[in-house]
Amino acid sequence: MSEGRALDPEVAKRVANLSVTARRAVDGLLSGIHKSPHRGASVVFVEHREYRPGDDLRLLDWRAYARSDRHQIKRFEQETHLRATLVVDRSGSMAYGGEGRRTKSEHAATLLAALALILVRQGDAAGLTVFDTAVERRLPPRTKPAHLEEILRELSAPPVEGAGTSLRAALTQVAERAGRRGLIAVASDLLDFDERALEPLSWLVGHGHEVIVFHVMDPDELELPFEDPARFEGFEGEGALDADPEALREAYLREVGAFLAGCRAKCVSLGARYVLARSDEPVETTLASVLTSARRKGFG
Amino acid sequence: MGFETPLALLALAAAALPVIAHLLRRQDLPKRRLPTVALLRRAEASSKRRVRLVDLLLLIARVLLIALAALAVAGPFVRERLAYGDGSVASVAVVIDDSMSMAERGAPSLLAQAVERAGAIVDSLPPGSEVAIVLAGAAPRTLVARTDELDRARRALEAVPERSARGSDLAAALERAERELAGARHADRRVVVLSDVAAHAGADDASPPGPGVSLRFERIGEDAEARNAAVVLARATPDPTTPGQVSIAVEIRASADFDGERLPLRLERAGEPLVQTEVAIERGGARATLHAPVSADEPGALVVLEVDDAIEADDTRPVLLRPPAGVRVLVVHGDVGGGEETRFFDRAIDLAPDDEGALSRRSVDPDTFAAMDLADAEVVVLVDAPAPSPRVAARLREHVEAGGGLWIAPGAHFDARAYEARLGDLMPARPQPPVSSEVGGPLPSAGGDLFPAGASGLEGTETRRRIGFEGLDPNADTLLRFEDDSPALVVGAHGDGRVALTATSLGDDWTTLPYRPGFLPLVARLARRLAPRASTPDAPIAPGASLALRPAAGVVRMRVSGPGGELADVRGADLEDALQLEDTVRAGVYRVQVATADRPLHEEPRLAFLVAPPPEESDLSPGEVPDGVEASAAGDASAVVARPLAPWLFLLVGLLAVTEAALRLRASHLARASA
Repeated sequence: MSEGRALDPEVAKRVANLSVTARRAVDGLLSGIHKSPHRGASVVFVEHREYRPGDDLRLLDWRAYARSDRHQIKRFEQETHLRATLVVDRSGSMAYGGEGRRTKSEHAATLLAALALILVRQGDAAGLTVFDTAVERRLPPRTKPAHLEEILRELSAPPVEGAGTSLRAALTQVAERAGRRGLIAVASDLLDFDERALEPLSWLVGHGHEVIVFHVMDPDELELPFEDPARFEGFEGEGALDADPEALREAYLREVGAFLAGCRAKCVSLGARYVLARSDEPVETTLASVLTSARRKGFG
Repeated sequence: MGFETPLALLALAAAALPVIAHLLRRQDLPKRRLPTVALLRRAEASSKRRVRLVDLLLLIARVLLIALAALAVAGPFVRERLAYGDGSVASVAVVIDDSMSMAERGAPSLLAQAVERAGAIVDSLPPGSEVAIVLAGAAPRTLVARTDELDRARRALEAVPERSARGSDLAAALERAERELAGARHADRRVVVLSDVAAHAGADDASPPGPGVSLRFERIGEDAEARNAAVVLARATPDPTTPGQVSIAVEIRASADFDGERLPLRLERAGEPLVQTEVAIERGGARATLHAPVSADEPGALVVLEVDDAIEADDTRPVLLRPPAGVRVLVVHGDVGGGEETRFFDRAIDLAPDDEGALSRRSVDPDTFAAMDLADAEVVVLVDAPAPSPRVAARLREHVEAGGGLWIAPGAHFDARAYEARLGDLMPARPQPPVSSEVGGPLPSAGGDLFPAGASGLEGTETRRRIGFEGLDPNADTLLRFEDDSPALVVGAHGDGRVALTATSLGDDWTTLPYRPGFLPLVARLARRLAPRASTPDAPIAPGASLALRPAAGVVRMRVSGPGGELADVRGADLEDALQLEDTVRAGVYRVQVATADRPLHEEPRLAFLVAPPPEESDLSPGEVPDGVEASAAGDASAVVARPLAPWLFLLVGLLAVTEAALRLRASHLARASA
């Protein structure tokens, strides 16, 4: 895929405008302005603490030992680039797009590509993980612009027809390879959602990762605007259902509302951010809310 | 079940149209992909349950509607076996024999079977038919006059008494049934007789039905003689050998298969056996004589034959153990040589029928009479007798004042002045010496109640010699008059008794009266009228017959009780007229208690009476129906008719159409609500 397919130029332009805001929000990612809450090897000493077995002996302050005859470990304030892992759902259901709209997969790709562009332009490292029932493809976070090309190319690939979703399996693999703390942005329709599907996120949040879940939904899925009875078929082998949408709309909207509320509640309870990304809304609107919120939280 | 137009059943295939349309509609549904189909399925599961149910009901209603319409067009019918008739409207008179031989035989009784059969007949008649129900037990009665309210007739059958001691009178019942059908609405007029058609029922005596009326006998029960024995007579008469005791003549009739058997027989009073014996049945019957003491407190008793047979009710017969209550007439003949007066008058008394009360006669000459005690006579008749002596006149006066009767008839020995002198205060008029003159009569006078109107049997009577009356008591009844309007027979009251005075003789020397057919009824009725009021016949009356009870003067209360309990309790002014008893259906002893101003309620044996079934009712030999009349066993008259079902099916189609419309409205309402 060319960058143009995954990243609409118009969108890229609007996203580029947003980068200023993003830059201000994250307080200068490219120049290492991101403050790391991690203590580690850096130039700015912060404090001592008692040595515990297993600590790196290189961090032992021998001078302090000489003065006080106590083993103390030096602690520093680390300055680093942001490592962002973009996780995209490429299951069969992501291939759906309402009439005149891009598919959910395209909308998720645009959203994550914009985010990647912001990050790379700021000099942050961006990586990509693609999953359906498991992780299918993984690009480690890097800062090089050429790496962005590879990410965009991967994002432009269409979903696999009939492929199912296994959120829990995929996110578990993401968590296992997440490495040091960073940003984890997941774009999925979460149709595989259940009480345990998002649990791996709790591990990521527990290890200091900032986790954002972009819940990508098409307006058709949210509003069931159809009028005539039809045989409804799923994308992932759910079987057909003959239904009159007029008759079922009220009950369907209740089910969708419960589904969205459940996803949001689960994310919040796990410490992740939940963002509903309607495929009929501009991605910059979605990103703006995320980056504005990130600035408020002092992300980085 | 069958169909008038079977080919129309092919239209049943159209019932599949809604299903096919439903399936086709499902196949024609456009396909639409939606990732959230799982959520849609859950929504359907939660909310479309009702919609689906309504849709399913709608589909069923449409299939049924088309199927039933096709069935209705095919003209289905069911073959139904009717209990009676051919299903067409008719006017039907049902005659139910409710005699004893029906009510007291079988389990359930033949009468119960007949009533059930009558109910089935009524049920088989189509609406618009007319029905009348006549009961054939003597005397026949109309249970339900002709009506088209079949339900009412059906309910009326429940009122037929389960037990009966009546005789049968099928001939009269059939006449009554035919009268009920006169003026019936339908040309199809039928009489159905439900009876055991026993010989005694008199079916073969019935007249053939009139034109336009069909008659059919349905035999209830077996067409064979049943084994039966019965006490058909139990009559008590004073025992001449033992004062205070009666002899009871008992007659038993039995079917032939009883011959040679010895059966226990007993007399019991108030449940206690008085006499026990055995009778040997020979040639279909037996006779026995039982002796028992008279009881003033318990006038009734039962003669019981111990036998296991078809009718238990006739194994017992009531009997009155009391002095005979019949009117005892003492005739004093002045013509001691036994003239014509004696012959005519005595024979009239002797031949008087018992059904209105027995008459017993004793004839004496004046000399014998002068020495007699009048206590043994209710009525004294002085036929051409010489005027009584003052002593005898005093006894006659006492007799009359105590309630007895006196009848004075002139003749050759009649001395008007002597009678005037001795009995003038008793007689309703002063008799004059006889004179000879031809005159018509005597004839019943206007307003007289001795004879039925227009049927006295005295027409053409001529009188050659007669006495005149002067000073006629204005309160006296003039029952007969001559054609010149002079009184021929006057009856006046004196004390509690009554005195009759005749203007001509009771023989044929003065008049042709003894030759007239009305002479015998005149003698019998006048003798009974002159008798004391408080007495009833000794012979049993027929079940259901009415009886007039006339208490004696001074009675202030009268209570009547029968086998079924108290029938009447009458007091005061209600006793001025005779008490007419109608409820005499049950066989047994009917006791009467009276009270006077001086004496509280006590038994009055002279007023007790019996109700017993007619003897012939116990004869169960099969009878014949009239020639040319259809007869069968009950239920054989059933016919098979076709009942069309199309009207009901069209009604169902209409209901289903309404249901389908309602379901459609409901479905659209649910859809709008969901939207």
